[in-house]
This record gives sequence, C-alpha cells and structure tokens, in this order.
Amino acid sequence: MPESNDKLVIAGREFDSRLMVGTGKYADFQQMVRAIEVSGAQIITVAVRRVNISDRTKESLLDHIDLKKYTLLPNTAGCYTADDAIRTCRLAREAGLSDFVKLEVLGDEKTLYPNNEELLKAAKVLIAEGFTVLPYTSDDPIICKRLEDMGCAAVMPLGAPIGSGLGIRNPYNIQIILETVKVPVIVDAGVGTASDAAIAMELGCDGVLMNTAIAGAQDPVAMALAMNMAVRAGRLAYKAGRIPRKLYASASSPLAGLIS
Amino acid sequence: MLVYGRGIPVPGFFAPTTPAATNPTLKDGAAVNITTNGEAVSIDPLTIQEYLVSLGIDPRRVAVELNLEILPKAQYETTQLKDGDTLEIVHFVGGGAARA
Repeated sequence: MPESNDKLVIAGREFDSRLMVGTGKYADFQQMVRAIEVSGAQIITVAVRRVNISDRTKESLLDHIDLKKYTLLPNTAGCYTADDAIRTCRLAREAGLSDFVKLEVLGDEKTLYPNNEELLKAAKVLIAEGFTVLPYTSDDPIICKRLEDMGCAAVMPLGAPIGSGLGIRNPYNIQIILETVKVPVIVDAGVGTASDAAIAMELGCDGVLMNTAIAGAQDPVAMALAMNMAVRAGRLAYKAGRIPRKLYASASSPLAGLIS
Repeated sequence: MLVYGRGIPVPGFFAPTTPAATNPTLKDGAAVNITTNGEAVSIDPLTIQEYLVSLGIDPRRVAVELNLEILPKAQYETTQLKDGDTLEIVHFVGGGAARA
C-alpha cells in the first residue's frame, strides 16, 4: 500500500490517520463510538467542562473511549481570552496527563473566528510551560508563520467558520500557508462533506480536523466512513501528483492508426 | 470510621457568595464551607480525595483547581479542605470546536 509509510508526524509522534475528529454533537455515546471507529481517526478532540456535582448519574465520555487506541486532544473551545485558554489547558493536562492541546481562543460568538492576538499570547505561555500546542487559527499565512516560529507543533487554519460546512473557502491562502510553514498544516473547521476534506488533502495539507460535518450528518457513521475515504483519497492524489490544468483538450488515444 | 458528607447544593449556580445551607447531619462546628464549581456547599472536613469519592467522582478522570491553582493528583490525599476554599472540578466531555 502506498499509504503504509506515509505517516503524519506531530511533535515526534507518528499517526497513520490524517483525519482528526471531534466528540461533540452526537445523538448518544454509541453513535459517537461507532463513528469514530469507522473514521479511522487516531486523534480525537474533547472539551474540558465542570463536573456536574449535583447529578452524578450521567455517564462520562471517558467510559466510552479506549485510551490505548486514541490520543486525546483537549481543546479550549469556548474560551475568549488567553487567560481562560491557559487555565483550561493546565486543567486538561492534569485530567488527561498529556501535553497535547488544541488551542483556540475565539473572537466572537457569531463567527467563532479566532482572536489571534489572544491566541499568540496564550501560545507563548503554554509553549514555555511545555505544552504541545496545536492552534486553531485564521487562514492567515503571517499568523501561521508566527505560530510556527513560537514553537507550535502544527498550525490549524480554518477552511470556513466552525460548523458552517462551507468547505475550503480560500484554497489559495491554504496553499500559501503550506509554502510558508514547515510544521504540519491541518485544516480545522469548515468541512461540510467528503469532497471538502479531499480538496484540503489534495492541496497538500497534512490533515483535516472536523466534528460537525460527521456528527451533524443524517447518518454520522456513514459520513465518518466517507471522510475516512476522502482524506485518504485526497492524500493519495496529492502524493500521486495531479496533471496540470489546461484550457484545451488533449487526446488520450493515439492518433496513429485511425481508419480513414 | 469516617462518614463522607455530601454537600448541600444551594440554589443559584455561579453564585459563590450565596451562604452555604446548614447541613443538619453535621456536628456543631464540624462543617467546612467551600465553593465547588460555583456552588456554595457545606461539607464534613475532608481531604480532596475523600470529597471527590463522596461525590461519586473517579479522581483519576478529573482535574482539580484549588483557589485558582492546579492541584496535582498526588496531593489529593494530603490536601485538607478548609473554610473558604474555592474548587473547580473539571472533566472531559464531547467536543470538537467552540461550544461543545
């Protein structure tokens, strides 16, 4: 298999799958577990929230996730300041005993666009504290370069706003980011369907992270499989090297030997 | 033998200034008033470890912030809750991006 030696390496850790999936918005744990399984993902994102101390009857997420099989990537979803994001990361490290964090610091509720100023501030502190920081960022090559220079283990530009399903709105920016940074580029947010994920991978991205596109689909388990295939297909196509785009036709059958 | 006390939740989430309700099962002067995840609660004098167990929480699966500082798991058994302590107990829940 041409895929077998094509590992994704983040901060020295190797992964076979280039699809990362979230664990939110599923109908129930059973559906979530099945969708994650067929997605082939090895890295899954989780959120950090207060334990409900008055009602302990609810099942816990970790009762359903095989921690030997998956790498948890705690996110700072819902944080709007560097301080909140830093606090959340410290708690996440204590709860999960891993240094991997998906750092997101949001700008506003309507767009859920990153607040890059706060993001850079938080990244600096967290990197100094030994975290492996994977930042969710706008598709801005300058910010991505700064994040790389600071020591982020990857950059995760958005394809479109979180949960919008609009796809890769600015493939040219993603291309510039790919030319600008050496760390893995993972498109995070915006994917709506399989072709969006394939496009990200065909551009040369190192991975795709998604939640809503799978969990919000009519059949999340089927969509998880579609995304698994799309990410692999897109990666293979990228590695295979596509033909250049041309304005006019070029025949694929020999011209010699035509009957006249 | 130590009897684990369950704090009595007080109405008004995120209202740490609400005075804790008196726990009738407590002996006079034995109660410790703390704030857990924004709720004022009155509990028996317990260590963090004992308090988590009394709440039915698996200490391995949570993180605890005591008065805004992360409390390493190794200190759960030796840290005694005191009057006025503010605790945050968090765990992992399903989430991808933004509002989980």
